[in-house]
Amino acid sequence: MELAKDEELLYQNTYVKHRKMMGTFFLSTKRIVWKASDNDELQLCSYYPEIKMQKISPDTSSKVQLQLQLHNGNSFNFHFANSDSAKTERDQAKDFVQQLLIKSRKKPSKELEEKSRLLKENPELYQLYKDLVVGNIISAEEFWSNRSGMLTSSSGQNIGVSPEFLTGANVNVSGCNTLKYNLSADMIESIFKTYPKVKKKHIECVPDKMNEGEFWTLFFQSQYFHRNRASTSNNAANELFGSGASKDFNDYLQKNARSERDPLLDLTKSNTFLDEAFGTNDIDGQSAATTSNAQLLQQFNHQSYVILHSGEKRIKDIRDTLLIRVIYVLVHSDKEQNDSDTQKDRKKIKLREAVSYDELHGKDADLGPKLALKNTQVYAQGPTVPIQDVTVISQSDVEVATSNLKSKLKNWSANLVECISSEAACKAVNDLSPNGALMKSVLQVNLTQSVSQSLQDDLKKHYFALGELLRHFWSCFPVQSKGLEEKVERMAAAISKYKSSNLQRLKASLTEEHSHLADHLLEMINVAINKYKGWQDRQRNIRSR
Amino acid sequence: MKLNIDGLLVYFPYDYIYPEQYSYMCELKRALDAKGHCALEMPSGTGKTISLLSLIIAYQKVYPLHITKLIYCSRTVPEIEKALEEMKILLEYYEKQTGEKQKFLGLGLSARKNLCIHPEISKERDGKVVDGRCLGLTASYVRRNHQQDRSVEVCSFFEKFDTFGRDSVLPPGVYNLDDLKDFGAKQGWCPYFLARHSILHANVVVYSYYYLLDPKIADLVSKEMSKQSVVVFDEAHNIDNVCIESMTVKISRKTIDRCQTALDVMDKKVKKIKETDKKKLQEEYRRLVEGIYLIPDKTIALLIVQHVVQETPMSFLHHIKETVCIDRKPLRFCSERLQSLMHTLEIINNSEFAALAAAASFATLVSTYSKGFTLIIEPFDDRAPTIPDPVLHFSCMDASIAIKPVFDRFQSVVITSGTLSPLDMYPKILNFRPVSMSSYTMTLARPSLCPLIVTRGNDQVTISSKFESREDIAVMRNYGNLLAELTASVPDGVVCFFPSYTYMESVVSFWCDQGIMNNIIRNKLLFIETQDLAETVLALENYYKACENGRGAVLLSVARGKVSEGIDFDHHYGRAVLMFGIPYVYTQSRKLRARLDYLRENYQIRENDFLTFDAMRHAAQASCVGRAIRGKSDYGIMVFADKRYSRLDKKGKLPKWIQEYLKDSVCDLTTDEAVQISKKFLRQMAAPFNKEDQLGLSLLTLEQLESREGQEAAKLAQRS
Repeated sequence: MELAKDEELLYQNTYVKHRKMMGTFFLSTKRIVWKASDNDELQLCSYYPEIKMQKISPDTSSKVQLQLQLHNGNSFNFHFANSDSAKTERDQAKDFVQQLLIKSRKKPSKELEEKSRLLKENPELYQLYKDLVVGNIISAEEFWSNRSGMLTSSSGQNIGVSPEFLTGANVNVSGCNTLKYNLSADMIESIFKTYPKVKKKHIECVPDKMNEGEFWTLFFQSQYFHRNRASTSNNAANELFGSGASKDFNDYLQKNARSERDPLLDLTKSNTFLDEAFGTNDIDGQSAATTSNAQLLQQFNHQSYVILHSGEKRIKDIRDTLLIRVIYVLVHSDKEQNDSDTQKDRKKIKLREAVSYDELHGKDADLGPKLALKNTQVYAQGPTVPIQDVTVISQSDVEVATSNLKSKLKNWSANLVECISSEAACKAVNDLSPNGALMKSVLQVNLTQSVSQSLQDDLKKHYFALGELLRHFWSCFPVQSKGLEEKVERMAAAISKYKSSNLQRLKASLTEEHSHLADHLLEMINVAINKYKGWQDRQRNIRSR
Repeated sequence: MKLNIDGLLVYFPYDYIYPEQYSYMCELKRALDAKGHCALEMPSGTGKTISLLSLIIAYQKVYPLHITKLIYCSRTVPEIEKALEEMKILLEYYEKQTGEKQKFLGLGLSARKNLCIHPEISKERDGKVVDGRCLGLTASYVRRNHQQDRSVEVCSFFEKFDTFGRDSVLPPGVYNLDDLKDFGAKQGWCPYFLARHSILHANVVVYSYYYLLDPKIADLVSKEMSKQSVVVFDEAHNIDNVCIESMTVKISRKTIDRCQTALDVMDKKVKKIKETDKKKLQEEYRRLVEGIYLIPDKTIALLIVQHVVQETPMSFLHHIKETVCIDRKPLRFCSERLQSLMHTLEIINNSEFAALAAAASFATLVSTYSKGFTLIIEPFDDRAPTIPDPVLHFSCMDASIAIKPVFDRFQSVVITSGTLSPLDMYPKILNFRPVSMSSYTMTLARPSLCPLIVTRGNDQVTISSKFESREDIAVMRNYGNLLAELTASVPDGVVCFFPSYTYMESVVSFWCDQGIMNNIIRNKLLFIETQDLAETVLALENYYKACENGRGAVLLSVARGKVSEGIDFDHHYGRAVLMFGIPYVYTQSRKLRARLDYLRENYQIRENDFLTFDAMRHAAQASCVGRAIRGKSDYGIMVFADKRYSRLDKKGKLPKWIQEYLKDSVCDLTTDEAVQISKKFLRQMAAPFNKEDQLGLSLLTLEQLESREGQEAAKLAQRS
């Protein structure tokens, strides 16, 4: 099977029959392929978005089969024929397909829509997209990676979860033994935010296996909703959510057991003195968490915990992306050591805070926190490696220039006696302005008037496209990882390609009088290429050493 | 500032001082001068620890021969660390003022678990396991074996300390647990043994109560402390329980079973050694082994008894002599001999022999003390009278037994806390004669305490956690409504205390069923203390986080639980504290009954007095003492939700500084009224409050202190 460029083979099985013919079953990131083993011509191929759902044969049936149903009504049966391990293989394949189906469904629906909307609304962006992506200069992913801010910002403000989101579902009792819950979109959002697992299930199940209504009915019957029910009587709900809530809870306990504790709140440290059998307490510790009441308490703790933390994640994500590069440069060298250090420092600060009395301090004690810099240069100049200038100014030149400037500044003094009057000054300024008495002969040549509209648009387009490329290029420096290294090379290639093709075309189209218009573009490209060459040389030096 | 306390130059590391701190130091100085014991009550949150440390360290510097050492005992590890941090602040101040490095050594000591730096052992979470494994690497015979056979593992940190560290002294400074670990890691010395060694010549030692009160540990650790030490028990309102706990043994069938297996192991070892080396097993040990053997047999014999037995140690010993012919004397040295036997037999794993050690210490205790103890044998659990599950309680009834050696040995013992009311109770139950006893109130520039006693719900039904009415639906509902309405008007953190776990559980589930819970969680996030410690810590952390980020939270917890003891709810972490009901102990337990009888007979303390005293100190400690208040710009509401709090005998047992604000107008409130008052209070407190408002009233500068007004203000603060 031939794979497309951005496709990856995930699974393959050579003992799979389709219409009683033996063949090989492939799963890639984009499609499902079956190929007959004795006939190269014959093959089946379907992309995930085409697939409506998959079905598997019941455990009791003699054949181990997997069925794919397409949106257009067709369906394919695959028979797993490896006698020993057919079932496990089938299940493995099924799991893969399941995941991939979810993925394929999620992405296009949201992201693509969003992207196409952006492109439609923003013609300049669209032009850029056409130039760079369609012109195969950079890939679509790279194009969008720089614009992730645009994508998410349109999704609106992140709203926190209200602690009563579950109880807010108004219950209407109608008739006998019927409860009616009213769910609003906000509430569903809250539920998804607090219980990511429910969201996952929702994507998996709705709308293939059940409709929205059925899903939420089951949700309300499950443990998530009824905190005080140890195990639900409803089997369907159990099947769907499993003991999801209690499992979540255990996960949370385990995860947090490992994390760092607040030194002032850590009660577990104390009381290791009494020997066994000593002491007066009568309660055995083991009784905890067995009764339903105790479980109820746990549920409350857990729910509050998830709600408290549901808001945090996003803020952290955003902060991370913003800070990551700065931190990378600052911390990178002594990261390991820093970790334990900061933990200790934090503890020290906390302790100090806990014991000192602000009121008793005089005023001078309130200096505020100090900024402790490990590397002042990095702080002052930012994390980038200083860029070598293309035109080198020698040390002596700089010195001469500054000394000149200094002496001029030193000797300058405002000679107020010899100043002209303000009226005279105004007149002079007026006269020297365009269309003033002295400037009449100078024709104000406006570029907007002399250059044709189409050329302007063309230039604008070029500036946009090149600007985007250069932005990608410069954002790679300092080159800290393998990925960035590759990107630099790719970008440099793209820039030279742009120079040789697009810019050449522009130049050719320019008339004699406007030929200088492309100079600035060229200059920008040259700076970038020089930088790239410099970097390459250094790279080579390092490698040869 | 530098203070002149009764002729003593005291360095106080702040520019201002609370008047009550000044009078506290004066009183303390008097007690030290008289070389006697004292009991001092001062509201927490007014800088008790720093006053104590400032004065005693100054005293120590001026009269190094009178006081050689300060032994500062606290309850929990965080409290130990806090005390050390305050000491650091003080020392920094000394150095800044005098401009020279002080020759002063202060350090903390804690269990091996908190100090170990051995790469593997320090990863263990259970303290007992750490102790056991540490002993396995550092016992003398293990090290001897290591000399001959290099494959026997020893702890390199201990070895290095033993070779180089024994003769050297820690450089001067204040070391908390982390500093000790850092120093140990740098030198390659074991921090635990380093600390154990260094406390002998340190100026200040900070450690847990148990190192002084538990006779088993005190012998090991604190034996060589000089007599001219000052001992301070901070947060000592619960000290009698600590004393009793350290001497009370419970032996159940499980303990006996484990004893038996341990004995079997030992027996095999003895036989093996007998075969190989007869000399090694001396006659004495054999006799002892037999002695130990007999104890479990006998206790088993006793445990077979079908009815509840309660007897004195004397009659128990007599009984033993009759049935199995063991004298009092061998029993008495049981524990000691077990130690040496295990040593000779090279049994390393001490943690497995814990049950046997417990049985041996029981034998020792029972034969050592004749008074103040009782033996209770319960053949079955009260909840399941048909299943035989015999338990033998050897229960200490007299708290003064454990603490007596401390009072006798050291020249000054200071007992201090935020709640020691009524003050005369402590000398009685601990059996000591203080040279001074004082209680200080809080001088406040504005009424930043708001204690409220809620007696009725909005439906006028009396609320009380009294046994007869606690399961009453109306009471539980009223509690719920009270909380729901308060959470709606109080910002940030609200802490609630229940009298017991079981009651809390049933109330919470009731609230849940009735939908009251929804009203509560509509206002704030909810966190609950559970019986699982790790989970509780987690809930606490999240509670703090929720208070910190502005969401606000409610913490439900238990008045005798872990949270009520060592956690501060200052500032926004506890704007309101609710106490549902009165936290009486479970009065039906036989142990408690025995203790009450004993107290009545020997110390003339009436049963009811003691029970109320105990309940009120827990209520006060949990709800107000001030865990809610720290410093004078802080403020908090304290709600006592029980009819019985308004009675004089209960109210009178609250600390004075709370009583002061309990006017008659706030002693009989309904839920609505309480909410109204608290709303008004919060609005008042939200007004800006500057240092200038406090100066001269509740906060003094040096000049003010020196001037006569300051002196008078200080005198006003001292009442009693």
